Amino acid sequence: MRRVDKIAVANRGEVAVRIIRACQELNIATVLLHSEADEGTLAYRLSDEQICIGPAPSLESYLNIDNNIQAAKSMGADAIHPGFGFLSENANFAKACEENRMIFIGPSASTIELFGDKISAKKLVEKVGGPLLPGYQGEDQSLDTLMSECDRIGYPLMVKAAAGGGGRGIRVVQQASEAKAQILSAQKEAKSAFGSEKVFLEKYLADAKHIEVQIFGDCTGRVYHLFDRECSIQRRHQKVIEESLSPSLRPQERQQMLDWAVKIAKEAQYRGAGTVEFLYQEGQFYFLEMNTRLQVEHPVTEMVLNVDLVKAQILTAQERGLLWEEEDLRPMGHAIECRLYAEDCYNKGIPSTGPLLGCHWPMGPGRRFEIGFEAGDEITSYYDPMIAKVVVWDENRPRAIQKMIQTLKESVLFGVKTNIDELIQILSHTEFREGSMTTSFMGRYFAQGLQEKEVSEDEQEGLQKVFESLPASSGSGGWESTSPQPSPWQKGKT
Amino acid sequence: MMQKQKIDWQGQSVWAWVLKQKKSLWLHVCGKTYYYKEVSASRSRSEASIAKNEIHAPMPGKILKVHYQVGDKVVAGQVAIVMEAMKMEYSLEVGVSGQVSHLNCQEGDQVSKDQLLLQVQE
Repeated sequence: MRRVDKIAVANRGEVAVRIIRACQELNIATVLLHSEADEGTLAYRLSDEQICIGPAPSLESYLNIDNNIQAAKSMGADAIHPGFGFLSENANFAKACEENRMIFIGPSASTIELFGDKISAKKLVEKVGGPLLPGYQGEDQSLDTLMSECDRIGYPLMVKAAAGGGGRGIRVVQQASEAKAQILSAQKEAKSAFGSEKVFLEKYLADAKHIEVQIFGDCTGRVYHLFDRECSIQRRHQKVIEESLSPSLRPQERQQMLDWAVKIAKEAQYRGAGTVEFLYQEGQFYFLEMNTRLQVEHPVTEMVLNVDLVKAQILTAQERGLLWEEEDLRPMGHAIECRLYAEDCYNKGIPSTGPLLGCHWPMGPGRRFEIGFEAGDEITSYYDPMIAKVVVWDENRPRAIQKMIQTLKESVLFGVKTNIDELIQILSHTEFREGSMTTSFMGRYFAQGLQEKEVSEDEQEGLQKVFESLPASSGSGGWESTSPQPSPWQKGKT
Repeated sequence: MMQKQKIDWQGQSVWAWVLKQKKSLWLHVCGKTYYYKEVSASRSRSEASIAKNEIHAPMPGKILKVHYQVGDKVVAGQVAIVMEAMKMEYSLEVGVSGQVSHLNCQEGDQVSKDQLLLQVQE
């Protein structure tokens, strides 16, 4: 067992809150490594200690390895939890933690490196005989070789940066005549974005589903799979709605996919939480990539299996065993997660920033709210516009969908515009209800967001009446209490 | 402070969440959120004066691409500027056809919300 008394949280928003609460329940102290912009957030208020790691722009704070390491060290942290995004899949950060005698909560630096390089990841999958898309990932990067490989694979295909991520350095080649230009342009972008012009080729599936398997390696070397999630509802490489289990897989396909995920993780001697992503089309599935971190959508897995993945991560870092027995990990019912973004879904999804003036989360059985902000906190333009995640569980998928719609309708967020109305429309869409949606769903039906919000004349009149009937709020922002006299709860307070 | 109270809505008395500010109102009623802004005479004039021939930054962010230079001909609907905010890219289109008469930003600039970026002479 390794002793961990204090964990530094190298992240922000709802995931920082999620980690801090797990630590509190395990009796571990927390120190939040935050930027100047994040003093007024829930994670700041919940953590035991806080230390500033730089100004608002992420490059100078959340992405700065040195600042994070020095701050964590100076506060006496034994371990660092990177959450997701930022430095969570940065092998150099994991190395720096170990060099400074702090535990990086995640897999080893060499595992992160192995899966971070898309080519070495594919080689590992190839080695265990896993399902790969037809493609080319050879060392010979000459234009002639790449072009003849394109012809061999067939079109459409994708040229991807080996060191890539986040959708950069990716080109789709529709036909042979475009190959040369697209390869050159992908190489150029790869060089400038990732410092390496190495690319690989891969068959392009235009209408596939995104299905992934949660795996977990404990400290004894045992690898568990925690079933699958479907995340086909995404736009601009950002997931919007996720669920567990996938509504599409047949039992036999599911078993195959789970087996491959475990084989891949075992081959890499994987430790901690990880996700093996697959593309699924017409009964066939192919390895896409392995994410070596906790996923944003981990709650849906937690809901159907009744486990706590963040605690499992921390316990594994402490070299303590888990309570899980393989035969107990049986999925129950269905869980869905919706990501709430601060954006105007009636105006092409343009981010909406400003103070959160008020919010209300409608609690109820099977409803879970992962929040990073409370009323009074500022939503800034420096980071991802995700404000919260709403997660529901019910006995089957149709009921879970209904519960999600009801929960979203009751959720109140004042101050910034949100994508709640769009989420409700997606959940109500026939293709989503049937479970047949693919990753082209958003582009096909919601490319422009929603049509202009229609406020009927009745509603407009009603709004004006309500506005006029209410007493003017005091203070500039309308933020101060409007109650005319002290409330009875204040009695006795000095 | 946001409050829950009864209001008259579509001929019925219902519970709603309300937050009234000086000139605006946030209202959540019957599963929907509304934002209402009191329209004063002067405000409506100034809003009307933001003509279609101008592109303003819809949010603070960074300019990634500027597709035109002063003097270039543009057609309504063409993407003139691409900006990045909150890890996402946004394409800003010109509202009218004409000639670019004024350019107030370049690639790499940090811009603030509502900043005038480009003007078109019809």
